[in-house]
Amino acid sequence: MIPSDHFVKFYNEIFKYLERKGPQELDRYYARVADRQAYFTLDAFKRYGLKGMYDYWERIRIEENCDMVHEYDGTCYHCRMRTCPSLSKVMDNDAEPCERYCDHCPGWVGRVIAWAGYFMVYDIIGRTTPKCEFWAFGTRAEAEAKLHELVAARGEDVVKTNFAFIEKGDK
Amino acid sequence: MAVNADGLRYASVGELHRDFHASILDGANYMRDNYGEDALREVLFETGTKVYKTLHEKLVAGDKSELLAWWRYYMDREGADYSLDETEDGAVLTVNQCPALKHLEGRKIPGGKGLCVATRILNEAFCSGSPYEIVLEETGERSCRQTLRRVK
Repeated sequence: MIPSDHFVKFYNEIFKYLERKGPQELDRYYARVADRQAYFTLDAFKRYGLKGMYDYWERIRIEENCDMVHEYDGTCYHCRMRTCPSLSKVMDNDAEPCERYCDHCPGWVGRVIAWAGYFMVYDIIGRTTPKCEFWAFGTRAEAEAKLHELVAARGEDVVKTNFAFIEKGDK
Repeated sequence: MAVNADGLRYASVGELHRDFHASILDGANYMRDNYGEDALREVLFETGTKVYKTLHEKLVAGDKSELLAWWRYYMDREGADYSLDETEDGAVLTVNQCPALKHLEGRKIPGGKGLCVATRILNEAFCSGSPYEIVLEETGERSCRQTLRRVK
């Protein structure tokens, strides 16, 4: 049995395999992960909106031993991961980390949030820094404003959105 | 990297996110279904020999201590009903109630036996190039016996 604690190290090996096949293969896997994670999240995100997101990540905060703060109000859910346990475990590892390990998070989270009808902006910050931040907004205008602010500060490579999934009516 | 006082390279602490058992199952299924059995074996061999480098290298050197410490630590941590008995040339891990299969059943996630397939391949990776083998026998819906023994 691979312990649940070590899932992320196995995940990292899958990512490295897929990365060698090409970036489209990573994205295809993020879509699959989103599909599976929807089983645990989408109903609550649709039914309870931003509060549903807060409740889900509150459980994750506890179960995954995250050092994070998060909050929601009438317009936005905001999560700030001060120390990401997932990337921390992947870096405390005798095997090499996948260079784009962090990208899986906006890859699946963005899709599920889009399917619930919300606009996500995700700041990876840095791919070897176990911290990140994301926002889910009810309107595209608010999300665009956050996107412009973050891109100006960090550049496009580490700032991700889910706008494309909403535009193409992904689900 | 050196192992810690528990004799383990990685000794996780704190809460558990047991839904990761479903993620492991789905990751393994995804690899097999999209890239074939060899791809699944490749990622599990990378896991078994590189992630668990110290455990694997000890087995290659004829030392079973880290594997036994790892079985004991994570079976305890996941709340398994199990016993671990050392034998002259290896050990027998008897899992009466697998915590991963129990969790998947509780979550109504089918196909849990895929985790047993992944465990067999991971065990093979641990033992590759070593004097040991691990034979996994499924003894019930959620139970198994894994026998480590010297074959060389």
